[in-house]
Amino acid sequence: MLNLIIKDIIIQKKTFLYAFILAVVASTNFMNPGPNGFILYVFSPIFINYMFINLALSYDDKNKSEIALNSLPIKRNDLVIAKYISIFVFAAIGIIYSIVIGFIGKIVGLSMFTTTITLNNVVTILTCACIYNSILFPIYFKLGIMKTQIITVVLFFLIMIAFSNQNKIVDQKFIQFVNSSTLTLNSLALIASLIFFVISLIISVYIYNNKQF
Amino acid sequence: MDNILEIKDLTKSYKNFTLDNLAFNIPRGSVMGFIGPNGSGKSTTIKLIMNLIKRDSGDINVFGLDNLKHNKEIKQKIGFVYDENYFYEELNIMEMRNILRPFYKNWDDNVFEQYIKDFELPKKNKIKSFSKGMKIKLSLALALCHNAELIIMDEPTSGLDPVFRSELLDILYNIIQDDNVSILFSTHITTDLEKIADYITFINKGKLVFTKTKDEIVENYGLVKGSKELLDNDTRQEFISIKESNFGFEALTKDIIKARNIFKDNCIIEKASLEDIMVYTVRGNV
Repeated sequence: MLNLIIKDIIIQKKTFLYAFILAVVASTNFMNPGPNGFILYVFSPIFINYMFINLALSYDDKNKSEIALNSLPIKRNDLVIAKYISIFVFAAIGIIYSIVIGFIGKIVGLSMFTTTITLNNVVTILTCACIYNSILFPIYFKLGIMKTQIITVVLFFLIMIAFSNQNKIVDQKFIQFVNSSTLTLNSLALIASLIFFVISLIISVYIYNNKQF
Repeated sequence: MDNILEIKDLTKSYKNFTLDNLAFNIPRGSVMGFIGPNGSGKSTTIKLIMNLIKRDSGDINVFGLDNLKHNKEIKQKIGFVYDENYFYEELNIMEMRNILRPFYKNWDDNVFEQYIKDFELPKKNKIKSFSKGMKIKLSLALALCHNAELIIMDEPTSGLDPVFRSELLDILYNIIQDDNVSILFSTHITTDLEKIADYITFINKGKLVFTKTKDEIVENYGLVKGSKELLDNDTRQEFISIKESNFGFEALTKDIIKARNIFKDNCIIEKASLEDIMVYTVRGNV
């Protein structure tokens, strides 16, 4: 299982660089870091997670690697479970990047880096990553990357519209919610999303075990 | 002699195609040529053996074990070479090796290195810069370096030039000197098999035509060429199929000795190649 996660990392070494650049740009130029460093400590780890997972799926699809992977001595269940575990690995990478960038920013003395990451931020990141990927994976295992990406783009635009200037209210409410909600509340959300994660995993295992290549 | 692969009553239906009660065995240490025209069900059979698709009914035993129940165990000892390559093309050989190596218990780096050297493959170039022949060589190196006892090859020579095909066959010829390794070699380029195969399984439209030793085929099948006067209702019965033209006929028989007795010196009788057998069987009378 670990080998499969390492595989997803080896095939996209460049993503490490892109993700880092993205996190730096997003937190320094793109917009202000938001109250309590929302962009740096919540948005960019979630986006980095999205990037790694999507690119891993794209590389598998581009090279039709599922056929080779399923010809190797690997259980189908393990292929699915590894994808789900990789959510946490890639979230961890995003979190580590944020901490490093925040730390460097503070040392350098840039004005926007005033805060440090909180446990609350970590809980929010894990919740969002769990929910998003728990929706994504069953669709991917059932329909393949093309249709999954179309759905991803639609979701992305819906979120963008919700957060666009015309919809300042949603934007602010969300950020307010993220920042004001207590650790207890967020932890409950995380527990709910983990339950969702397990249900999604069971569905994906079922889909993948019946898949024909 | 024990069988390394046993297929019994294997059936798989699609909307427009059915693999129908297929059965054949591969004895340990032998090379099975698996022939048939495009769309005859060769790839479907291989996908069923590799558990990439689900069978409707029948049995597949590899190394005496059911291929569904013992999927992981069996694949430890199978090497595969497909007609398309499923590598991560952005990577180089060594990165690809690093990905695959941990999955095999008996991976041997020295053997892998030796093959890469013998096949003259560049270690540092991205796989996407390789020619098709080089990719097949890489597949073969990966298939051979973990002590596989069964090598499954699905159309490895399709789209390759004759020089490379001949080189590949030489490589395979060396591999089969090891009596522990068996090969299932699917192809529609039947000349590839005349040199290396011990057995031939021929399928057409999802149905088994025959599964025999190559010697049996070479000794018994014949091509008869003569004038049309020789053809009557009785002699026609002797042939699998007949090609008639204004000048005469050419026909395939599966009993060359009987044909010699019937036609004596009135026509030309020669041994049939695998290609003749496939073409005449698939095409029918014309």
